[in-house]
Amino acid sequence: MFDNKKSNNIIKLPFGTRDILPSEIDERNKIKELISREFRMWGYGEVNTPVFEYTRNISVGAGKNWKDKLINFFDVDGNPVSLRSDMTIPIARLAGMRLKENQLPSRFCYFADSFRQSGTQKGARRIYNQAGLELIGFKNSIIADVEVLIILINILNGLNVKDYKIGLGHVEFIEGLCDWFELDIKERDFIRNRVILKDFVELENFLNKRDTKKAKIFIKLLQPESSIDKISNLISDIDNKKVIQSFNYIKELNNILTGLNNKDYFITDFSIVRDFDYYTGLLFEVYCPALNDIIGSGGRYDKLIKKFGKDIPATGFALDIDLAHKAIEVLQGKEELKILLKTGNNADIGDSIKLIEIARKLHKMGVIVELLYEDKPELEVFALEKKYNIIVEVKSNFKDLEVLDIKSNSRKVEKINDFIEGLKRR
Amino acid sequence: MAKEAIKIAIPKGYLFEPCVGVLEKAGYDVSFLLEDNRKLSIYSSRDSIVYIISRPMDVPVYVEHGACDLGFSGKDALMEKESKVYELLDLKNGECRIILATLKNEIENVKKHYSRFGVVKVATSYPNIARKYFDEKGIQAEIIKLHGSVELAPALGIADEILDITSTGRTLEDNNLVEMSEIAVSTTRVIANATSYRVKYDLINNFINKIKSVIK
Repeated sequence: MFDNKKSNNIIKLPFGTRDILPSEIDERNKIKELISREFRMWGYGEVNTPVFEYTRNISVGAGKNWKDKLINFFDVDGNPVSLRSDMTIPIARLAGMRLKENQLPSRFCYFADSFRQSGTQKGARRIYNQAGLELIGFKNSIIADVEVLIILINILNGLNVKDYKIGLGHVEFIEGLCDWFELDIKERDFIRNRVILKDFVELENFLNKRDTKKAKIFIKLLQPESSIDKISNLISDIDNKKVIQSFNYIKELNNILTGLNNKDYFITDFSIVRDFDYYTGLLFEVYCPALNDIIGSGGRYDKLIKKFGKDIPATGFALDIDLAHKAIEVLQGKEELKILLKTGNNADIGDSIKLIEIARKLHKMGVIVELLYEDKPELEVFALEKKYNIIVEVKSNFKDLEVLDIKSNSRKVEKINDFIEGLKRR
Repeated sequence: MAKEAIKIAIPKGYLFEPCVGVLEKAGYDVSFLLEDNRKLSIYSSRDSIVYIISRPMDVPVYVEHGACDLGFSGKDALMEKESKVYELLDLKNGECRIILATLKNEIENVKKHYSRFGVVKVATSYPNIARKYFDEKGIQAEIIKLHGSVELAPALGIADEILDITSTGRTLEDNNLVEMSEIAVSTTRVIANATSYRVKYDLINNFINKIKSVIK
């Protein structure tokens, strides 16, 4: 059946997509359970939204080149529709459409796939499996941001992600620095693009042409920094409102988080810019050294829900489940008893039905039982791969069982009832 | 190996010597790098640095995917790969120019060919740079990727033009080619992985400052 793959014409998937098999899903489910528990404890309710929506909605806040980033197609009536590229935009749409004043604040969480277009040669993923939350409707933004960050830390620590750092930045900081440099719109665009591309060489060259002294400070301020005081000294000569306000916001956030004993997880980094341009204040990213990658991100988006009808402030984050999975050791859940149950050779349909009856009894006791209705060579290898602890063969008299404990490789014959009693006592 | 070591990608080929030169000037122990062997990964215990010797085009890829924290890369490779890395420093050495060239005495023919057929054939090891350049100019181009000896392409009739790098112009001349236009000037850059840059910031900053002090 599997030998002749050449004759199979449908063996490929579109680039950037993949299948996920049970062993991986099992581990991911453990991760999701842990995250879900944390979400529930803080009162976040899970939501789901359609996988595709009108492009007009999905493209709101998706950034300048949204056409290249979304996966688009046409509905039967000719309307352009797009797969969602994150969950924040659909949830903002949901909030604008359905929430009433007295339902605020609203706490929503989600576990969902999002879809982003990518170039063929880059070979990047096009499906992102994320867990995330949105905290909608608190006027005091800083304390809402603190809650979201604390939950994020609890999850990362609960998953035992090693040595991670959360970078904190602010959308308005760079804007303020551009004001300070008295740059026009075109020049601001240039600066923003250099920061997005992380091209500090060109950035420095450009700024040096204007004012080398100021340029030095500008570049320094865009470097990661764990000491708030150092930044404080650097901006002491900058009399721009945006710079001062956004810095003070991060400083206060830092103070609160330090007070809550979370200082070591944070660095300040005003060079953080995200792909989505709906953010209005705080921005953050989770860096994971084991993967050298960003495994989660988020921030404040106070003007997004307004685009869908209601002026409500909000904040949130998303954690990439694929990356989080790679970043951690396998989670140890409690060891489950898994039995592979089979009949002897030459069993008929009646025997198989009896097998199902035995399995149902065991299922009621919470034991995982997979049935084999046919003979299978190299059964032990098969069982081991699927993490079964015991192979049980029902003898043709349907009273006796041959029990093979795979780990200890011990074999014994037992009466069915004795075996079930033994499991009950376990 | 110390846990706090940083990994640095060094390009083989013409950028190797200038990069090692800068490292040496900045006070790093490069004796291992100059040994005549084929090791591709070298650990300097004195400086807690692992050097990874790689093909120039792979340096941005190694750094982007976190195989290395830092790397020395030509701007040409960065432009071609468009890797998401931090470009921190211009070493201002290893200068070369990215240019378009064609066979001597053929410029008129190439132009005539384009006006008749509306498409130009270009051989290059930089298909991404080429595609972007011609897109911007609004010129239709058929881009043929070659892995080396691009200068031969026009003479062999594979392509009308080539897009390649040149430093002295010698190879162009030897192959009977003339420059048509300059697309960009490339120098060596120090690049960093985005996560390393945040997590190992102190180590990286220290390295950058030492390098900076010897290039200006």
